[in-house]
This record gives sequence, structure tokens and C-alpha cells, in this order.
Amino acid sequence: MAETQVMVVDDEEIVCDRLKDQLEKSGFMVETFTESTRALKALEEKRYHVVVTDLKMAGPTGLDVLYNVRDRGLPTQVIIITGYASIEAAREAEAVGAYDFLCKPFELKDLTRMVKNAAKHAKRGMGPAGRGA
Amino acid sequence: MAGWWRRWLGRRWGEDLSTLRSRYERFQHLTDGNNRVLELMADAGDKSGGDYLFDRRYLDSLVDDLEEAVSGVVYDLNAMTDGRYIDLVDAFERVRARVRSVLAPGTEWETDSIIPLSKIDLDDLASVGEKMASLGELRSRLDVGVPDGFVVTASACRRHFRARGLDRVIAARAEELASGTASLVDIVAADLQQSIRRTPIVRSVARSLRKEIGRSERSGWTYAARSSALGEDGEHSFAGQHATLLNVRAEDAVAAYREVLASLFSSEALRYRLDRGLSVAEALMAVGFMAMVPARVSGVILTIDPASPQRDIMVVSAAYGLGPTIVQGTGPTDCFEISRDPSPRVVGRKILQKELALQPRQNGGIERITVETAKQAAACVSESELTELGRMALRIERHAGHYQEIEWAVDQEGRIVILQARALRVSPSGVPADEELVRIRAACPVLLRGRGVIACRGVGAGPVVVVRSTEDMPDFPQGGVLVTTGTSPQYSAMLARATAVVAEMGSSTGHLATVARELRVPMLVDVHEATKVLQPGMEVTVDAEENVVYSGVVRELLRYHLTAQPADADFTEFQLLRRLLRRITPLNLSDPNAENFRARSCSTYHDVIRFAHEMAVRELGEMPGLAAGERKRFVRRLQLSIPMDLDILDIGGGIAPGVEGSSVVPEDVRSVPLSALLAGLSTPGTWRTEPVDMDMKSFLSSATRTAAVGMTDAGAVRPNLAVIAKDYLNLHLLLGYHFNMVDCNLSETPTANYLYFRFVGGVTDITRRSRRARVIAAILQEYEFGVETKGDLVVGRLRNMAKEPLRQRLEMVGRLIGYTRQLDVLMRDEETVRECAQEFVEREQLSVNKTPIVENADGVR
Repeated sequence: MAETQVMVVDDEEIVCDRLKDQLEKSGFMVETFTESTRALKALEEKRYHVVVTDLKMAGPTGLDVLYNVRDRGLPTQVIIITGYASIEAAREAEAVGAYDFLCKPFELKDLTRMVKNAAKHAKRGMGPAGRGA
Repeated sequence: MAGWWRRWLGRRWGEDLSTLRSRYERFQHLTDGNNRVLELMADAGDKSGGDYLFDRRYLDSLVDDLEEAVSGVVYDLNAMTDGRYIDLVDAFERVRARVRSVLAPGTEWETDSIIPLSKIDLDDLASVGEKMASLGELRSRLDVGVPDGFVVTASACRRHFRARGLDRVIAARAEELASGTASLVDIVAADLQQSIRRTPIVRSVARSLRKEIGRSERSGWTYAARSSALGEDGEHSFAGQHATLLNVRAEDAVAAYREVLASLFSSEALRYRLDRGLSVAEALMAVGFMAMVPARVSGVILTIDPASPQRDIMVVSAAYGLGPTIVQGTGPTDCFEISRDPSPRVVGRKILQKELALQPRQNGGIERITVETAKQAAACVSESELTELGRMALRIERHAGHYQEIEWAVDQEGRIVILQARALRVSPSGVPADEELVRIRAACPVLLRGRGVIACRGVGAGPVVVVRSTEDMPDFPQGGVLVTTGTSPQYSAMLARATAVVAEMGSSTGHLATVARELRVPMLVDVHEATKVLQPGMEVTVDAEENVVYSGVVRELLRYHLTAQPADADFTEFQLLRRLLRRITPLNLSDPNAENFRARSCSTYHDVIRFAHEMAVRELGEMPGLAAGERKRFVRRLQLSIPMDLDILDIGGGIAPGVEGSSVVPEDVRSVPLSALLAGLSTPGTWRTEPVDMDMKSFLSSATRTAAVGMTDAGAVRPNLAVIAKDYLNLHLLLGYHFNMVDCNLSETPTANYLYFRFVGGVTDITRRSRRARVIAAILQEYEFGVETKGDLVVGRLRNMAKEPLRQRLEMVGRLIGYTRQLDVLMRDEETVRECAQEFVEREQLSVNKTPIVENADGVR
């Protein structure tokens, strides 16, 4: 199977580092972004199977990332991470078309499982990833 | 006895029902708060294991939630007791400040210039550096031989740098490096070291250092001055890049301090920082001054051979004299391979010709000497020393949860001391991968699977040691797997020696589980029949990742676990959480009978709630002091088939709704604990009514006591009273001439459950009464009660137990009350004590099973 490209967007560096570490251990190719503006730019340049994004960030939010993916009709699956205070917003995101959401603190293996499943979904909708859009 | 009497009969004998009710409600609220704190601690302990992702907001809210819940508990206790525990408020405030300081920006790093090693543990990482923090940890928590000494803190370093303007110099040069070339590094390093060497240590720090050195107990000492840079030994090893000065004389201490500080910017250290993107401007150094060990032999032990971990052996290198021969690789060394058994054996050796050794020089510093010819070709350490060293190393490894690299020495008296210990990184190639692990697990013979609840994750192996009461505790061996029925908080004393814990009862939020998480001892609780399946001496592996106990020692699994990266080492949030937990979860007040069981001894939140709950239970136990008028209005007589008068007072859900009138029948009772007790009391055969013969002496003694009872209170002996609620029972029972008191909360929540049983008095002389007390004590111990006896007083306590086993014990207490009613008269000699206890227990086993047998789906026995 072709490598699974995963994008992680979170303005907290610890989150990016931890997720990269964990997801790479499970065999994913991971790129992290602490600035959502750059993440949006990268989405235009490259295809990702799965985007894992924080909901609340300075600049474009997780919802903006999600809308960006949806509006361009990409098969990319978006997983939203939220603090426990914003579960309602996360539900909204799910209604808009997020693959799933997770509330911090969460168990890393739950996320890994979620990313695996999301990747399967994404691959049904797209050819080999990593090439230009 | 007299004081106790007065308290019983006199206290609050004038309350009305609403006071009583509100006291009970307050108690329920306190219990809820107590459970909430235990849950928060359990949850946070879980998160600190590295399997979760969380952020700073979680830590903030954890601290807020804990604070709110603990302060509620403290408030409730004082509300229940008319403010008799005001000093607990002070204790709470102290703990609160300590906990808050962990998250307060900046302030947590400011400490005294000097901290003695005896006061240091991993909590002090940020002020004494990882190297010294872990040495302090070994000393304070594992009681491993570590030389005495003290640390000049990172705060002192910062104060010195700032006061002398060195911080600006360093920042400026760091700026240059950021834009400069590689060749510049050596120049900058030399300049910075030069600047530090040339600058006199700021007076306040130098004074503190001289004062510490000048303490009388340190007279005649020389020191090893060791670098302990912030970040060193943790994520980044900085191996050999900072200075260690040996045999430093007292008068040279300040100069040595300056020299070690300068090594913060050795070329190697500076390059290392730059390569890894570590800040140069913010580099700080703590320096440890440790008593110089005039070593006969020094060496290094690795608890696994990093070249081939699958061989599962430890490797030791050793040479005569001081350590640098080994760590700097300056001379030939002996090498040994030793097994990783609880009592390690030497399985391989290579002895070299060792002609030279380093030793302390008369006027400070070290010198090279020639080893006696006869000793040159001999092994420099003995088998027994290697065994002892191996044991010590495994203990350190177990505590750290990771393979270790340890510097050690044997002093002139033959004692082994530890000079340094750090995690040994083993390349993942030598250990099984995730998929392989699945296969390994599948191939192991399973003893218990999925029966219990994981209270602390991890893997541990060793021989099963079954502990049934606190009396067994002193015999608990190093490296044993602790198997128990109950989870008494007093058991926590054994956890430092245990490789794993399996308990038949208890919950993951109990006190013992909290301590297990703190010490990182893998633990399973609520494992039915654990003591039946796991027999003493069996070798087992407790896999508290997958909730399985395997037969035998599964080495691959242990290896995998010891190699897994300690996730918390690398991330600030994990470090913060662990520092927080160190101020929240340790339980110092484990034994309610101990001297230190006082409000002012509370130094963690766990202590505070444990103390508060214990005191609240005692308070509630003395509850039924109801005014006479109120009694008439609310108290009802229970119609029993046994000859016993019992009034009941329902304060919430204890009697079926709609039941009216001044008397009730047992069928109307809805109070779970009262029902259980009644079931016991009315078990056929329990209530013997035949008179027991008394000899004259007993009779005379009893006559006197009757008079005494009569004189105590104008109202004479009041009828027996049970205060009940749905989950609660408080019973004061005067039977003949002795009192039984039962106070019990019996609900679906194990951590809210407890049972207190108090028995005192009797008709005969004190010797016979005390004998009866000992019979009762022996029986209670048989059922895992914590027991305390004083003369003819017996107090038995159980807590944190699931509903059904506790209900069965309460029923047993009912039968015990009946059985022992006139037992003191029979207590003619010591032999009868043992016989009677045995008789009761045997009868119990015939009538009911002591522990419930719950068949699991897989039916493994």
C-alpha cells in the first residue's frame, strides 16, 4: 500500500511533536504545522490522506481547515482535536463533514486507530497520494 | 475506659433529628468529595504514564478541580465537627501553595542556593539538574547507598551570572553563534570559559557554599564536584562534556565550583547544544558536592547489554581505585556478565592485567599509583559484591522503569555506593517489535485474563508472595509479586520492594492504587480468586498493559517494557504533571494508629483527604446522641425474633416507604447494611441463650461492674439504637455488659465503603475480657480487617471494598456479635483464645464462603 500522508495542525508544539512521534511509529508519513496559515498553503500544494487539526487556533481555525478541504472537494479526511470545553463546536464540525473528533486529553492509541480508519476512507476516494493537486 | 464511657453516653445527647440528618448529609457530601479527589488522582496518574496527549489547559483544570474538591472535603469535616479540625485548613493551604507553585510561571525555578542531597528527589529536577535529582531520588526513595552531600542550585548559577553580568556576555556570544560559522564555536567556547573562570563567584553564593562546607558534620571531608546541567542526563546525555573534579578540599570548593560552571561552555558541550538546537543563552549548571568516596574499586554497570539485549544479562566493568579509569576509558578493566535474577549470578568474566589505579592525593586532586603485583591479574571485585551490585542495579531499574547505566564504587569498608544512575538507551533493533509482541503474548501460558481492573500500567515479574495482613509485611522480599486479598493503605510500605501487585479487592481509585502509580508498580485490582490461582512461590509475569497474568517469567515482555521510551521525559507538560503529582498523590498518612496521623503532618492532597475521611468516619460513629423528645417522635422499635431490643432511627431511605407506626418488622428494612447485620445476627445457632456457668471470681467482678454501669448516667442504660439510611448503618449495641459499635457505609462505590466495628467491656475480670478481645481480633484479622486492641477494647476497620464482600463481612460481624456475647466467661486460659477463634472461623467456612466465588467466562482456576 502506498504511504499514508498525514498532516497535523496544532499551535501547541508539544501536540505536534507528540503526534508526529506517535503516528510515525505506526508507519505514517507525518508533517506538522504550528501555524494554520501555512497548513492551508500546504494543502494546496500536496495531497494528504488525513488531516489532524486542533479546533481553536490563532488565525484560521480547525473549522477553516475543514471547510477548505470540503470546498475543494478533496477526499482528504479531517479529524478535529478539541479541548474539553468546546465539544459543541466539535459536534458542529462533525456535522459539516469532519471524519471524527477527539477531546483532549485523549489516549494516543485511540487517535492512531482513528487515523488508520480515516486513511482507508480517504484512499477509496483518491489515487496514490503525495503528488500535486 | 471511664473517659470513653462518658463520651459514649454524654456526647451530643441533646441533638435533634435535623442536626443528626444534616451531619449525615454533610458526611455523604464529604465522601463524594473524597471519591472525586481519588478519581481525579487516578485519572491524572493514568495520564502521566505517557499514553495520553494533553496540554497545559488540562493541567490548569486538574489543579483547579482538585483544589475545589479537597477544600470541600476540609470544609465538610469542619462543618461536621463544629470546626474541630481548623488545623487541617492550614495543612490544605500549605499543600495548595506547593501545588500551585508548580504551575506558576517563573517562580518555580527560584530556590535557595544550596539544597542538601537528603532533601532532593526528582521533583527538584529544575533546580538541581537531572543528575543530582536522580541521585537524591535514589537516596530518599530507594534507600540506596549514595554519598552524602549537597547541590549548589541552578538558581545560584543564575544569580551569579546575572549579578556579574555574565548573562549578557553569554547572550551576546550566543547571538554571534546563531549567525556565525563552525570554526567560531571553539573560540566562543574558550572565551566564555575564560570569562567564567576569571569572574569571582558572587558573594551571596560563595558565602552559602562556604557555610555549607564549614558545617561541623562535614569537617575533614573532601568532595567530588559534579556537573549537573539542566537537561543533562535527561533527554540529552552531555556525556563527558562537563567537568567532574575529584578529591576537592574544603578550601578549594569555591574555585572548583567556578571550574565546573565554566565547563558548561566546553567546546564539546557548546557544539552539542548547537547541534540539538538547545539554547546557549539560557544554559544553567547546578553543581553537586558529594563526599569523596576513597574507592577501593570503581566501575559501571549496565542493566542490559545494549549490544545484544536479547541475551538478557547485565554487564559490569570494574577497575581498582577511582572511577575515571572506567568512564574515561584510560586503563584496562575487568568485565563481568551477570544474570538478571533476583539474586544475580556471574555468568561470564574477562580479567585483565591492571597495573595502574587512580587514588585521592594527600593535598587534593588525584594521582596514579601502581597496583600491588599480586592483585594486578586478579579480579578486582568478588562474586558476592557483584551479586549485591546486581541486586541494587535491578532495584534502581525497577524504580525508574527503564534500563539503567550506573556508576558505582566499593569503599574501603566494602560498602557499595552509587555515584550516578541514568536511563540506558537501547536501540530498538534488539527488542521485539509490536507485531512480535502480539505473538509472544499469544504463546504464553495464561493464569488469569481480563478478570480485574488495571490500576497501574506496566509489566512486572517475580515470585508470588501472598500477604494476608500487615503482620506479613516485614517478610516481603525484594522483587516479589505482591498478591493480596485487600488493599489496605498500610500495604503501601511494601510497594517499593514489589515488582507488581495483584489484589482480589479494591479499586483503581483506592489509596494503594494511587501509591502504586506514584511508584510505577504495575497493579491489577479486583481480580477474583487471585490468591487461589496465584500460589506462593510461583513465578509469574503480571502484564498490567493487557490485564493478564502469565505463568513464568516472560523475558521478552519485560525487555520490551524496559526499552519503551519514557514518553514523559521529553515533554514539558509531562514533567509538569509528574511534578504536580509528586505534591498531590504520595500518601504519608497510611496508618491511622501511627504517631504522624495528624492534620499538620499532611503534606499532599492525598494525605488531607485520607485524614479528613478517617476523622469524619470516627465522628459519625459517635452520632446517636438524640434528645429524649426527638427519640419518642422518630424512633421505632424493630420486632426481632431474637431476644434483643433494637430501636431504629431512619435518616433517609432505611425503611420501606409508607410503613407507619411505632414498630417495624425486619422485612420493612431497606437499609442494606442493617439487613446484612440482621441476617448475621439471626443466623440459626448464632444466638445461644443457655446460661453460662461462672465461677465466683467472675461473678464478683461482674457485680461491681453492674453497679458502675448503673451510676454512669441518670437515664440508666438506654435501649440499643441503630441510625440507618439506605447505604448506612450506625449501631450501638449494649449486650449484657459489653458494647458493640458498628458503623458502616455499604454502597455500590467501593471507595465510599467502610466498616468500623468496635467492641469493649464484659462481665468478667480484665484478663478474661482481654482474652475475648484477642479472640475477636484474631477473627477480624482473618477477614482482612485492620485491627487494634487495647485491653478489652477491639477496633476493626475495613475500607475501600466492593459491595458484596463487604456485605458478607458485615453479616459475619452479626454472627460474631452473637458468638462472643458471653464468651469472656469461658476464657479460662490462653489456649481457649486460639481454639475459640479457630472454632468460629471453621463454622463460618461451613456456613458461608469467606470470599465469594465468582466464575469468570474463561473459568481459569
